[in-house]
Parts: sequence; C-alpha cells; structure tokens
Amino acid sequence: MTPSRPSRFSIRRTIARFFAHHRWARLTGLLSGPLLWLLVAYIGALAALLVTSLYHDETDSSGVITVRVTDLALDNYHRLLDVPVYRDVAMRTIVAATAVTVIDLVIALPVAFFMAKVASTKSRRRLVIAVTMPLWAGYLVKGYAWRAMLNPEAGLIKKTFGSTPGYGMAGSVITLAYLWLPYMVIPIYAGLDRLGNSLLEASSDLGAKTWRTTRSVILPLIFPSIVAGSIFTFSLTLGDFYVNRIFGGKTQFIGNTIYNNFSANLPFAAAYATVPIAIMVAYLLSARATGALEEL
Amino acid sequence: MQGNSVAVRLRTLSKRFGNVVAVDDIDLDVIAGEFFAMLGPSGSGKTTMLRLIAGFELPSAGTIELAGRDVSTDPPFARDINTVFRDYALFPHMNVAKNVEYGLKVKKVAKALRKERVEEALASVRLDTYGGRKPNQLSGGQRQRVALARALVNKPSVLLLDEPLGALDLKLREEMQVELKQIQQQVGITFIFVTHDQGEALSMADRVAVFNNGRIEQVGTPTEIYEHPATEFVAGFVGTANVWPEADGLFTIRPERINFGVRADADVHAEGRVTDVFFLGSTTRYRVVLSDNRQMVIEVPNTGSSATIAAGDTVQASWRRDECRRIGSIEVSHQTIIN
Repeated sequence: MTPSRPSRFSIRRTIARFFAHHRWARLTGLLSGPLLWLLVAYIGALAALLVTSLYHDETDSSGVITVRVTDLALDNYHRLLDVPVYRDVAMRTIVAATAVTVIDLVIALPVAFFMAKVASTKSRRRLVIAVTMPLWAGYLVKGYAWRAMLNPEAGLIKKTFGSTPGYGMAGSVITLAYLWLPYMVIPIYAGLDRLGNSLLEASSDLGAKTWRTTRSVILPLIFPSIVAGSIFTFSLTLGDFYVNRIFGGKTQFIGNTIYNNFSANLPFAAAYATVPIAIMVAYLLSARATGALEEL
Repeated sequence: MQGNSVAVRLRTLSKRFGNVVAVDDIDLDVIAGEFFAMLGPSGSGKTTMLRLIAGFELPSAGTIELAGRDVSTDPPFARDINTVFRDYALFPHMNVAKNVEYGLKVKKVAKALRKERVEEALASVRLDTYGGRKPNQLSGGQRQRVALARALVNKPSVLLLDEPLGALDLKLREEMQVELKQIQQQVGITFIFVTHDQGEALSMADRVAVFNNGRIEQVGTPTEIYEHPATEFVAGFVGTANVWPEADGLFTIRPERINFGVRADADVHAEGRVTDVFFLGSTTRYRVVLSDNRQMVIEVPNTGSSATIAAGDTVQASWRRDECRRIGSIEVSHQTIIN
C-alpha cells in the first residue's frame, strides 16, 4: 500500500472541507495578515503622527535640556497658521505641485494616447516598459543627474541650448515633473485603453473632428484616470524634500520644513506633516465635487 | 426605391492588412433607397467593406463614390454616412438625448431645431420618454434603438449597420428585424447591413451580396440567392444545400424540396438509409445515405401526422428534376442529373 495515497480522511481534505464550509475562517486566513499590517504600520503610524503633533517641546529651567510635554494642545497648529513663512512654504509647494501636475499631464496625454490607440500591440508593450523604465533607477541618481544637466555653468542643457532654467524652483519643478511622469502616463494609458475605439469612431462618424472628439468624448471619459495620475504627481511633490534640497537653495518646500524640524522640534514637524494630508483631502473633495467621477 | 440612382459605387476596391487581403478587388453598386445586406462568415471581408465605406479604413486600391462623388480618401466626418456600431458605441457619459443630439450639435444645427429633431428621432424608435436615461440604464434592445436614432437623426444619405442585432436574443432580434425594415421604408434612406446570419439577410434585404474570402460570390435578390446560387459556397452558406458533382458542373437541391416516399409529381427516385435525425421544431431534418453512397439532407415539415422515421430506417426519397439547379446557371436545369 502506498502511504501517500489520498484517502477520504486525509488531513488536507479535512482542512479543505473546513475552509469550504466556514466563510469566516476563509476570510480570516486571507485578511488577518494584511489587516494587521494596515492597522499597526499604516493607521498606527498615522495616529502616532497626529498625536505627536499635539505635543510640544519645552526647554527646562537650565536652558540646556529639551523636554517633550505630552499634554495635548493645538499650539503647533496655531504656529503653522500664524507664522507667515510656514504659509509661504505651503503655498510655494502647492504652486510647484500644480506646475508639476500640469507639465506631466500635458506630456502624458499625447504619449498615453499614442500608446493606447496608435501603436501596434507589440510596440505598446515596449512603450509601457520604456515609460516605466526610469523607475528602475534610483531616485537620488536621477536627481543628481538633473542637477548636473541643469548646472548653470557647465550643464548639458546650457551647452546644448545656450541657456538653462538653472537651479531653484524651476530646477525643482523640472526634475520633479521628470521623476513623477510615469505615474501620470500609466493611469491615463489604462483609461484610454479601456475607452473603446468604436466611441472615437462614432464621434468621427457623427461629424466631429479631432479636437471636438478630444473635448467631448475622450477627456470626459478619462477624467477619473487624470485624477488618479494627478493624485500621484501632486502628492508625491507635496511630500518630496530631497529634490528641492539639492536644487532649491534657500527656498523650502513643505518636505524641507518638516525635515529641518525633525531634530529641532518633532511635534511641530508632525503638525506640519498634516498639511499635505489636508491639501490632498481638499483636492480629492474638489475633484469629486465636479461630479465627473460619478458620471461613469 | 427612389429611382435607380446609385448611392454607393465601389470600383476595384481592395484593402490589405500586411499580407492579408481583407477586401479583394470589389465592384459593387448599391441603389439609392434599397436595403442592402452584406452576408458572409466572419473573416470574409464584409465588416472591412463597411469600414471602408464609412471611412474608418482607407482603401489600398480602388475608389468609393457616394452619390457620384469620390470620397475614397475623405475622413469619416466628411462623409454623408452614419453608422450603427456592433457594440452600439453609445457615449456612456451622455444621456440618451445628448447621445442623439451629438451629431447635430457638432454640425452646429440651431438649438430649437436640434431639440425637435432629437424628439422626433427618439419617437421614431419608440424611446420618447427615455431621453434622460444613461446608456447603462437601458436594455440591449433599447441601446440598439438609441444607436439607430443617433445615426438617423442626421438624415444621412446612407446608413451602415454592422451586425446591429448580433447581441440581442432571438425573440428581440426578430422584433427588431421587422422594426428596422419598417423604419427603413419610412425614412427611405439607403441601408447597408452587415450580417453573418443568412436568415436575417434573406428576410430583410432587397438585395444581398454574399462575401467569401474578401470577394463577392453573388449579388442578387434573396430569392435569386436562395434558388439560384452562383457558387457552391453560396449554396452551402445560404440555407442548407445538397450539392454533388456531375459531368457538366455542380448540382444542388434544397433539403425541403425532397420528399420521403413516392410523390406523384416527382420524377427522380432513390433509396437510402437514415443515419441521423434532427428535430428542429417546425421541421425535422434527416441525414440519408443513398444506395450510391451519396450523402443527402432531407427536411420535412412537422405536421404531427407523419409516420415517425428513425435512424437506421430504409427510406424512399423522391424529388422533381427541375428543382435541381446547376450551380452558376440562372436558368433552371433540365438535365438528367441522377441515375
């Protein structure tokens, strides 16, 4: 007799039968790991951030030792709303995030359209790889590569075109737009891929030329994809600090301010870290308020 | 029919995709006001033909004329043609009225007139009260009619329909066949209808073109196509046919023209054995091997009184010689083709 021969009473069968008959057991098996991770590492960290933002640091009577006061208070929030420089930094970051998003959108729309609607199936796959390929390289490498290219004296762009946008805000925006472009192209490509060719043909058949079809059929239908892509470009810019650190000089983004306060005043850094979250929530609510997300 | 002017004239029309010849040197005239069907199996080139006429594909060679004007290289929006797509292609973000209005809006028709024509078009497809609905709130048959209204509202000179009934269930399809035919007669627009369903083509069309491998095998009225198939392919694709070779060509007879037993007016008799029986509802179809080993299909109406014939039975079959047609000859064959 072969010992491994499956029998009616084998242990594997018993387990399989147990799971087949108990829905809760299946769900527990499937989700307990991810849920634990979400609760502890994800929500937990966010909660810790919010709680920390309500603490504040105080220097003791000797003037040397800083102690953390764990009484909950809104002092940090008053400070970031009242001190002009913090408002300026937030506004500057929003402007940069908007610029990055618009640049990426303008580049991504035709590229994604070509990929989804013009290119052959074969070259489509190659293009998806080509678009995502920059993500394989390290973030720092790409940042410094752009720094070298944008160098006002000896950079490649200066040498080739005779002038360069240089460092500062322009350099940051250009580099960030480069870094986040794949995150805009891929959702729009997916949206256009789902959009049936026959809809474009129907529009043309009904007398619409290219611009009319773009405005009345393509853009409304891929609006959710554009929102998805812009969430990436917008929030990644809001959270970035390193690109501006190597380009920005003295002007700061939200990320730099948080970074600079890490050691000096962690509770304030935590409070300031809620600013991008608030901006993203406002952004998503306004996207929803257009009604274009439910239209579909 | 509105006289005999030509609505669509195709001359030496060809379309190649790489090495594949989808449409191969087609000459065809579609008469203004007629209900014209392009019938063929999938891959026969009929849909490519439709796309060439609509302007979604450009011909590799040859010309397309619309009412005497060469439109071979015009884009779709410059052709006085509208299309009902196989998947309807309704804009999902617009309600029914906006879908129907789209073509008029693009052509900058005045708002009051637009409203009037949209209402009229929706009424003609019996969807007057559905203007505010979104396409995803409609059934397949309703979507089909919205697609029809959206095309007809533009009053094109030619309407193209790409298997418009393919996605509907049988009952609805039969209703829509009647409705389409009525609408076509009311509006008097030339309809060019692509289908792989021979029953649909025969029942609806004034004329049928049978496609195979990118070529037209035969153009004719449904009766001509059915009764006098020009090729073996047409005989086999349109309906069921018994086909066999003789010294001077191929001969065919339809299964329903053969009787069991000895019919008084029959002049050909044969003996055979039934191999398979298929009950089809209104008729029963039998496969019979004749004593000379020829396969034959015989179809008889189910009157309820006929004696049951089962597989394995030996049967007599008889038919009239003048109902055998020589393939390719329009005149009825009087030649002896059996025995």
